[in-house]
Amino acid sequence: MYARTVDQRTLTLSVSGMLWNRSLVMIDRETKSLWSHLLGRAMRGPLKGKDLQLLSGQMTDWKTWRERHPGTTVMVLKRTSKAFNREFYANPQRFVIGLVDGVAARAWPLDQLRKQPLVNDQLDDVPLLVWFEEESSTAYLFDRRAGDRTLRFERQDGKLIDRETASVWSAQHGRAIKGPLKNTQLEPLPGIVSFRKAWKVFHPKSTYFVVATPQEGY
Amino acid sequence: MFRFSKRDWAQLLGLLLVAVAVVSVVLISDGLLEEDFWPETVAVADEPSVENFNPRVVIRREFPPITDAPVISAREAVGKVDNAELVLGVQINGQARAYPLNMLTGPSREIINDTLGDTAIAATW
Repeated sequence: MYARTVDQRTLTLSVSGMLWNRSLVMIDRETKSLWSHLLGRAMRGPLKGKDLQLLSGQMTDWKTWRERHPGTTVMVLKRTSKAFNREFYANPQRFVIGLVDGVAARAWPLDQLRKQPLVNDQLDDVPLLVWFEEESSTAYLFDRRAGDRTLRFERQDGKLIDRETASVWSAQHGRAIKGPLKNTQLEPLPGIVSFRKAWKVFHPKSTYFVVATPQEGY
Repeated sequence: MFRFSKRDWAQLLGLLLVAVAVVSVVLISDGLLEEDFWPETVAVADEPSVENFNPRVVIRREFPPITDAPVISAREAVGKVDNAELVLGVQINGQARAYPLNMLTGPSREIINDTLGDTAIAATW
C-alpha cells in the first residue's frame, strides 16, 4: 500500500508487463518511470531513485477488519482468484511480516509469531511491538514509544498490558483503552506481509526473528 | 656486513612456507575460511538496486491503470465479500477501506489507483 504522490505530483500506476526478481514492475503513466513493487522505488526513467511512501496497511480477513472498522468501505470487483482466504496461511513458515527502517530490515516469520505472538523487539534504534492474532493470522506492528517513555508489553489473561504503567491496550488499534495511559496512541509501522522467499531476495541483509529456545543441557 | 648466501635464502623460504602452513591450519580449524567468511561482500553484490535493475519482459504491453474501481459500504458488501476472505485494509485520516485480495490479483488487477482521506494511494501488495 503506497501513497502515489511524489514531489507534489500524483502518479497513476499500472502493471508494466515486466518482472524483476520474479516480482512485479510497475510503470507510471505520467513519466513512464519503472518502479519496483516490493521496494517502492523508481528503478529507471525520469523519477529514478525516488521512493513511494509506504503506508501502514493491514492484512487480515474481512470479518476482522469490518468489526474493527465499522465505518469501513470496501472495493468490490469481479474476483480474479479464490485462493485468498484464511486457509491461505496454512503454511505459515512461507510468510513473513517485514519492516524496513532506513537501511536495516527485519522480518518476523508467521510460524515463529504463532509460537510467540507478542514480541518486544528493536530495529536500529526504534523499539517495536509485534502482536500476532492467531485466529485471523493478523500481525500488528507498532513503535512502542509513548512520549519519552519506552514501553515493554506483556500478555496477561489474553490482554495486552504495558509493564511500566499496567495500562490495558487494544493491539488492533495500538491504543490504550484503560489505565494511566488511556487514549494514548502508538504509531503504527508499515509492515509488509510477504512471501519469505521474496523478502529474502529484496532484502538480502534482513535479519529474522526466531523464538528463543532453551539450550540443551539446561 | 652480513650477506645472504643461497643457503640462507633457502632457509628463509622454508621458514616462510612453514609459517603460511601453520596460519592456514589455524584459520581453517577456526572455521574462518568456511563459506560464511565473506557474508557482507556477497550480500552487497546481491542487493537489488537501481544499478543492477534488469527486468524481464513477460507481457509485451502495459496494462491500463485502474482508476475507477467501485467502492461500497460494509453493509452493501453482504453477500459480495465473504467473512473469511483476506483483505488489505488501510486507514487514513479516520477513513477506512478494504481491498479483498481475491479482487486484487492477476496482471490486470494488481494495482488500484484510489483516493482515501484526501490521499492518493495505490492499493497493491
